[in-house]
Amino acid sequence: MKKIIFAMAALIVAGTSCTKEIQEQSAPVAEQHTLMTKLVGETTGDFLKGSILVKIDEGISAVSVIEGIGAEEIFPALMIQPKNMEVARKYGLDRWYQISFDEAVPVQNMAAEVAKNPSVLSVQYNSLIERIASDKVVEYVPVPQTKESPVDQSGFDVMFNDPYFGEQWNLYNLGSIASVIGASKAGADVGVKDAWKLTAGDPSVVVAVFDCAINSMHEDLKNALWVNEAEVNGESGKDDDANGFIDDKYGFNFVGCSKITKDYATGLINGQKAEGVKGNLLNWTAGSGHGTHVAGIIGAVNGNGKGVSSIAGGTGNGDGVRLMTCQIFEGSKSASDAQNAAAFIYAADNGACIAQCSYGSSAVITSDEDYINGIQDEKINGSPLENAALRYFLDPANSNHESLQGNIAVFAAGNHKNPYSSYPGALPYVISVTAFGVDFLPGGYTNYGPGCKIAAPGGEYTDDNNYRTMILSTGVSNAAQGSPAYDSGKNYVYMQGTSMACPHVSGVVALGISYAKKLGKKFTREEFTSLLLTSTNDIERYLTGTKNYYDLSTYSWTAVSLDKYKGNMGTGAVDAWRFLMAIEGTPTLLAQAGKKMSIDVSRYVNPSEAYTLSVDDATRNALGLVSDPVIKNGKLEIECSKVGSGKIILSGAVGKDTEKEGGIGEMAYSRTLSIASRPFATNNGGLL
Amino acid sequence: MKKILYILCALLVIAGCGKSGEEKKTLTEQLYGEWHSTSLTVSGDVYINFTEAKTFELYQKIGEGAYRLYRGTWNVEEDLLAGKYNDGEAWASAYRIKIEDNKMTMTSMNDASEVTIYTAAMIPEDVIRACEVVVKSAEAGF
Repeated sequence: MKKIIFAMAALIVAGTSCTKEIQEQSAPVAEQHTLMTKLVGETTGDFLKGSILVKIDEGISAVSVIEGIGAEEIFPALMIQPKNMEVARKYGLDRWYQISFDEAVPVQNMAAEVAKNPSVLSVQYNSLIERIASDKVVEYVPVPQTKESPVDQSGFDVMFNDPYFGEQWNLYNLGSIASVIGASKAGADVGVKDAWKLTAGDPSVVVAVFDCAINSMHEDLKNALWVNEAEVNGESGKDDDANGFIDDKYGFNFVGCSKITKDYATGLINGQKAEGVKGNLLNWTAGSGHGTHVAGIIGAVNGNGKGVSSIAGGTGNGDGVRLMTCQIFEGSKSASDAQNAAAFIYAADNGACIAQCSYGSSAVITSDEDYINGIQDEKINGSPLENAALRYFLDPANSNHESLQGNIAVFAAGNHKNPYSSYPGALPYVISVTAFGVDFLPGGYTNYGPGCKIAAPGGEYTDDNNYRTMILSTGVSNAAQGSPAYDSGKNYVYMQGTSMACPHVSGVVALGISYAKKLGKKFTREEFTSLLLTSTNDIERYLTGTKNYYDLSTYSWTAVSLDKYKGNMGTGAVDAWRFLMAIEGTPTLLAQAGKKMSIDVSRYVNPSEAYTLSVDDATRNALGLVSDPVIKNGKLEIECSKVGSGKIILSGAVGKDTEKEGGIGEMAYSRTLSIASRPFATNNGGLL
Repeated sequence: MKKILYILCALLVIAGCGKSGEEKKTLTEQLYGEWHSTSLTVSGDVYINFTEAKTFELYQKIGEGAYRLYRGTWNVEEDLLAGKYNDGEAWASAYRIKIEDNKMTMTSMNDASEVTIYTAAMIPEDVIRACEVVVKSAEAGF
């Protein structure tokens, strides 16, 4: 009740004179309460004018909802293919409608009017989403490196012939990149170099990039794109594949409801150059290349002798993962909730098994319930429609890869330094990614705490002599339109943020699915994310003392206490190699019957995580367990009295807000360890 | 004719000497080289390389998962094989070994029912390559 009252108060504050008029006309207070529980959406944030979203009861005529309230039109909020209607109904997506009306009519007024209808279950403002991005980009001046002539990371072992690999500490960090934040640390990377020995991707894995459009002309991306062959070979202006979208050759523009548009960084502001700064501030009103940068981290073509290497970009033989554009930003415009939800439906219906989402809500939301249902203490936030569409994407019935039951969504945690993840990333069924720098310490900008699931390289800008501690990837042209460089497709830029950390995890997930396919294995989404979250590297041990962080909002250095990040960066740092090893399978641990053993398991699971161990009766009897096994400091302590075999389940959870009841929920994970008790065994696991 | 018989006898003696030379290889010398498991008491696959420098490389895959490499030193006294891993831990058992026709049988001195059999075989390159990786969290100070 308290929440409802506060929500009402917020609406009154946010309301216009017309709102007051409606409130005065509305009589009983109890009735107002009922109305307000239906109202969701971000009243204080940006939202579309002349548009609201409603969910109506089953069997109700949509047209009846707008009768007599002065609205122009009501139509389904989403386009659902008949073959997918059953799953859509499961999440009520078939009952969401968009009402359009004169933009002069305050949205709040129309929402309140519609909410009076007892057949309307929910009313949502058509909020605009916010991209998660730092406003710093630095153009890369190419300095091709080879094994024989490394520029900085001396001794690096080139896996592919991509000339800028030596700059990509995020993929392979030898600890020699010059850094003024903290000492560059060898191993502070995504651990992909060794993983490439096993797989470098598979074209059957389609990653939908929810962002501004991927530059389809880029030399390092044009052969990594998801291609809708029917549209590419079809007729312009026609829906050749009858999927409901015209000319969606490489994806679709959900902001402009059109084919994808090019994204150029022509609006870069050289505001800092006068002070000797090489980097540029991004002018988001004109475009940024954000989506192109993100895409390059996941799947820029490896081994093509051009540009950068990527996590899952194949070996240069057309065997990398494929990148689909789900354009939810276009210049200064952002997708509305309805458009964003449509993008999730599109990704699910057109073959994507991973949703790469470097965006989040700008609203302060700290509870799953608030996000999903919309009502929050003093604001009316949340996005039930987006949540329903996200659930549709994740549903096992919409699996888009033979090796995965369900699909996976990865979000950026946010760059607001908040002690919680942004939504939707904070939801317990998606992955939210925090960022660390070249020093293996949290990026000063990163959100942390409840909702955060895992950490990845996000880079950090310090000053213009040290921009190489940011993340290098594919970019778009900063050249003036019409100049030869404009369409060159040869741009590479540095960026920083959880926006950059997020695609590292998407890339590793893509690599994992590729490897599962190679091994002929299949996992549920829960099994797969459990393997991802338990095969991380320990970063907790570094979180002591302070670090200096260059704050781009104040252009000054700030000392940040690292203590606040303890236990709050997710389960640890993502590691591609360890993840692939987990996918391959965890070896049977060997124990000696009649002897208390301390078996090292740190190479299989992150030793810094607290696991709850459980064994069933069959295992307990088979091994003759003397006491309950425990894991301490990465070692399994176990005492078996009999020769036999069994299984131990390790379980844990990440992301839960332990201080707020009903706050951000947890993502649970578990791993199974097989154990064989023998007449003799070593603690180190050696067979002899 | 006598001369021919003499030559034949000489050849037989030389051939006999050659055979007896092979038989004189010590057990230690016969152990040198790469071996592949054909029978284990646990589910798995194992390759071992015993070097002349008395070091060993043990590539083992027990149950699921990838091969894991262990290194250390070994020693044979009479027909007893014992060893120590590079982390300082001794093998859990010494083994009585018997080598015959490229087949090695190892019987545990701790438990006579623990008998494993290996045949001489090269260690595949992909097994070696897969073990060249340092697992970060399992190593100190990365």
